[in-house]
Amino acid sequence: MADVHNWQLNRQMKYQYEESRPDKQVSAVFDINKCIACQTCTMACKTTWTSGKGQEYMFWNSVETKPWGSYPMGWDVRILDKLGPQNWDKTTDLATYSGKTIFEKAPPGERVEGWRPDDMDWAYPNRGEDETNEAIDDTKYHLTIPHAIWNFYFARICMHCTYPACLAACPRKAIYKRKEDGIVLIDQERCRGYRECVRACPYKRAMYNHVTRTSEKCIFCYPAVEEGQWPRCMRNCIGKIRIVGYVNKPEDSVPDNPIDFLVHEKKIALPILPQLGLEPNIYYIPPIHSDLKFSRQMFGPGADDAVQTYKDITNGNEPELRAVLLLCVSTDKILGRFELQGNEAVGFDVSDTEVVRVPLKEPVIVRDFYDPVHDVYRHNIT
Amino acid sequence: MDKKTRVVLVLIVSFAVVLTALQYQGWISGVAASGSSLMTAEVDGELPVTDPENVLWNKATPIDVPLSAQGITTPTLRNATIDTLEVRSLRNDTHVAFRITWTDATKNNRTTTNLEFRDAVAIQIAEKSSEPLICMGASYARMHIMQWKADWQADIEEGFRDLQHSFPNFWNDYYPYAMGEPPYRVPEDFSGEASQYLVGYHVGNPFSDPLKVTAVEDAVAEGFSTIETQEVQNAVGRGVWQDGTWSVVIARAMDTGDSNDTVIKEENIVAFAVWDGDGHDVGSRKATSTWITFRTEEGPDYTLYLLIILLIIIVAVIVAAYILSRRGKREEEPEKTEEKTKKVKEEPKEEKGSDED
Ligand code: SF4
Ligand code: SF4
Repeated sequence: MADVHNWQLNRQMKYQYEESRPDKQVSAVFDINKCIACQTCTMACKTTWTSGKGQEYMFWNSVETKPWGSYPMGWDVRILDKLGPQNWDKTTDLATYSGKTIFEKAPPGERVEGWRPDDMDWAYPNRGEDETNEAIDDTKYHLTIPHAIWNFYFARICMHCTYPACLAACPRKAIYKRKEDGIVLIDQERCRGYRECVRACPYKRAMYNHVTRTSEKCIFCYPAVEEGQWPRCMRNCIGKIRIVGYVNKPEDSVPDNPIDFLVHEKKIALPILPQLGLEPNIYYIPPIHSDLKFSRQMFGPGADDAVQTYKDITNGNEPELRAVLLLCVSTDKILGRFELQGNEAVGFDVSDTEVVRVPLKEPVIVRDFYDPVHDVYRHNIT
Repeated sequence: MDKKTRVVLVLIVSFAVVLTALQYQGWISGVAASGSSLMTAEVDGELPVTDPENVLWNKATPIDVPLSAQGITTPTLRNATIDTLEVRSLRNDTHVAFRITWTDATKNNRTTTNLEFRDAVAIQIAEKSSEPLICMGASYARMHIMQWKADWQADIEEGFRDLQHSFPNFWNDYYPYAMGEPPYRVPEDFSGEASQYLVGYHVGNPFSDPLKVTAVEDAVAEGFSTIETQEVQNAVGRGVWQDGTWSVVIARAMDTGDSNDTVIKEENIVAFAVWDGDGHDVGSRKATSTWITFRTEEGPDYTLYLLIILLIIIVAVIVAAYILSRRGKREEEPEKTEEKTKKVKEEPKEEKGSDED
């Protein structure tokens, strides 16, 4: 095991291989507050990549209703259970994790602490849809934030981790992380179906194909990325919750890079279960209406501040944040830079060409109900 | 040292000398004799390469091969559920076959669902080497590995285990570009563009091939993580599971002409590995043996010479012991006479002396 640096833990940790960061790391931010659980992302992926025989149960993108939903069953609680105490020292500038990661918790003879889901565990992709944290009680007042009764929709894909557990666990070295963009792939020619990656990935994003008998996973639509375009699940997002770009280490953060801005500058977008130690590269703006205790466990010690910062946007205090978030799914080009120009958010692609311009406030035009030119009544007047 | 001790000593030393000489000659084995070499028995005509129950196997001397849980590389096997293999070998002019038998209460010959893992057994063959050889070879020691897989055999003998066999009531009415009727058969209904949705199959991964031709994968490795299925498949074999026992034959031409295959000959070394699918053994989670010398030639029959030599040595030892004991007696006698004379001569002095005291 090598000593590597995981900035999300603010410390060195043990990993199977030496630290070897890609030249660029693809990343995305999901604003949980906007997801409507329409599953368009799920189907965009399903119809593109997993409609083959043997992949029926696979959803490389899934959307579960938290706190109860989980695909596969109990993916989060089962690994958290195995991990032991997960404390953070918040006296340091970035909080420092003092518990163990899944690599440090590996039993003797193993590379990673993990578990293998069975076929039934995968059989409830949307169990508990729309269920709330507890039974709705008439006497509880629901209009304060956080809500007494809450749930949120949690869209998940492979995190294309900096320290992938899937890659570490594969004794066959059939999994690799691309130097050019950090996308983690399973080589379908080399895989011998050992399913060590399925066991090891705590987010359970490596899946076994019943027919080809190899393991498969999200490929971050790399053919699209190579063309500077967003993956399918991202560009089809109905709730416009997603933004795609490249993320840097905190010390290399570029403030006008939209991802760095959300992750490092504003610290509003947080990793899922950072304590597992994988340095996942999909970031989440935590739900502002849910129990913060739950969010702290799911998104780490930055959850409270992130929620506060998000509330500040509505208070009009964060025009740049508002600008970045308006660029979500306003383009399908991977963004390299953003700018707030007066009343407009402007996005530039990685070659710094302007690809999108969005007003901070959409102008509202109200038309008459009756259209005398065509002698018709309008269905939509705004 | 008295006579008795001397005789025992002579006997022990002679025995040790004889034992060392015989061991040095290789006529008898050292400690832990069983299992350190595997003698292949020669037969005329065809080898029973697909028949582990053939009576011809009785011609071969079995050896017991102890196994231990693989613990060199991670992930390791925690407990070896299978701790011994019985191995026999037969050969004819051109081919060699191994029959490996072990106890396994469950037959695991499916890998369709998430928690199905196969029973398997592998033999690796290498040239005798002065370098330390570890499991799976190294960059300086290319290993030829033949792995028999229970699921590959089941796919050949019973037809490809498709989704509908593991999940009988599943229904999917559409797969992109697939031709035919639900549930759509692999691979017949997935030709052309449809095969792109069976990625492992499309890129030619042998594990994804539904139409396997052999249950034994002919592979090569140069250390952990490096195993590759060979371009040319030269190994054959078949297993039978009955009453909690697997009996598997793995066979190959001794010289395949394939540079990836070790030429099988006298003094090659062989090692075995076994996987218990029921215990989720897979990949490096396996039980392995140490190296065993493979022998094709029995030396000349030394038994008679050995008996004669032993007889001569025993007679020589007895004679030597007898002579020694005789000489001992003779040496003893004059001493006694001398003593007597002395005694007689000294008697008066003795008496006198006592008076003086
Ligand atoms: S989320 Fe899982 S599958 Fe994806 S890179 Fe990380 S460990 Fe691998
Ligand atoms: S498409 Fe967007 S809004 Fe719809 S479920 Fe997916 S992430 Fe949520």
